[in-house]
Amino acid sequence: MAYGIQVDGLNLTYSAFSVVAKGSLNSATTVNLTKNNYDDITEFEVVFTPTGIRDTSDEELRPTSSQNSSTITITQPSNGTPHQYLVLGR
Amino acid sequence: MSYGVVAYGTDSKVTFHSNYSSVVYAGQMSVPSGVSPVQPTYTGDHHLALSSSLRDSNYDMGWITQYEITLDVDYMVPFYCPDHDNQDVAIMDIINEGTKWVVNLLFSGTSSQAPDVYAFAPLTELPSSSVTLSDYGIAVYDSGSNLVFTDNKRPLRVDDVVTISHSNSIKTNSKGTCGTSGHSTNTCHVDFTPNQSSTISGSTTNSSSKLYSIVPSAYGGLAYTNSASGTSSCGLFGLISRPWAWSYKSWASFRGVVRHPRNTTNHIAGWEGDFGGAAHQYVQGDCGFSGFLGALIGAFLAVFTGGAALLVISGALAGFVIAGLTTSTTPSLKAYDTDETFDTSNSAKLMITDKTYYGIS
Repeated sequence: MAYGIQVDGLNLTYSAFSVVAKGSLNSATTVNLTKNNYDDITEFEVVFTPTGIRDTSDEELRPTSSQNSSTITITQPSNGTPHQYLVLGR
Repeated sequence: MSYGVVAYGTDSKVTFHSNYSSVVYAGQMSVPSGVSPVQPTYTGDHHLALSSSLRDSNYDMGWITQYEITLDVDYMVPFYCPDHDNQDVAIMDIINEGTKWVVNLLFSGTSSQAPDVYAFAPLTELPSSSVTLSDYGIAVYDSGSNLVFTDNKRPLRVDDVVTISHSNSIKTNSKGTCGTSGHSTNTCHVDFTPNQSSTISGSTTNSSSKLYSIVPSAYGGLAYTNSASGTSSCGLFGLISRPWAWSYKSWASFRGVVRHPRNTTNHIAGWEGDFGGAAHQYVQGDCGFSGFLGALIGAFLAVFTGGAALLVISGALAGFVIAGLTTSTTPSLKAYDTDETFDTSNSAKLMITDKTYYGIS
């Protein structure tokens, strides 16, 4: 390659997700993150990982996330069960 | 940024950054010894047997299996590679206790067609013993001296992120009917095969090397009941009567699954059964008995779906208990009394990457 970085013979010309924020959701809550606080990141994705068995007899709901141009909002409903979240950015 | 290092891809987005930990491939998950894929069915009192063909044709049941990996991290993201084209897959549960991570997964096909599952984790979470640095190449550290990027661990390169939603109903066409005309045996089963799905288009073409990460939110079930009671003639010359009653009940429990047809950019959000059952009870009174038998059956049917079935489920999934863990690792299954779905208004993000990016064969 004429410029840039090469790893194991492969040009590192692609973007990749890094962890810009992480946390746990153990009860009903809302987490707001300001995008401007994360230097150089232009794309954000929130990944939820349940951290236990999903109790299907309890009508449990997964957490949700939404985002606009400036804020990422993560919401854990009242009948949610423990989850982790990773906010990935690139 | 005023200091540190940042690299960009040709899409002008960050490849690695000294402020943030990259996410890297941490290892392939394996099926614990003693675990075999299962199709749990109700086998309690008055059950009707669900043959292998019935589980497929009338209950659309997939197979539940389990994976584990020893990984000393606090955060882990599983990706699966379908065993074959058009395989339906759902990650049901992810359990962590100590250094052990467990994934319960539902898949379609035969019991020998379980998908492969791979674990990814933030590089800063991995113990230093699992990251070997060369005396050449790149190593990037954050302000806390944590390794956040190294050319020895290729970062999570995501080809596409797709928002997946499941339908509000599982089945809208007829299930058919099952009854009995006074006989004590019954081999009938209605058809619970789902006919509802959603097709979502992405931008990356599915292939045998693609890896997918999603934990669907939707689940639900279908149910069917039928019953009747009456009297029949008995005694000398049929001048006396005896009461009879029967009741039939069956259900199928479903999870939201996702399918990735190869050579297309589509993803299909559908439903796959994780538990099913059917029961039939017939009783008749003595000749000249004037009591009402239907109430007895009604009380019985109300009990078995919520109580006795749980014992049956526990037996079928006994191998899913991981030795040494105090946390439950057995999937939660439910018997349904009515058609219903849960958590379908919540979409889930599907991330797509490729085995070739990480040297996974």
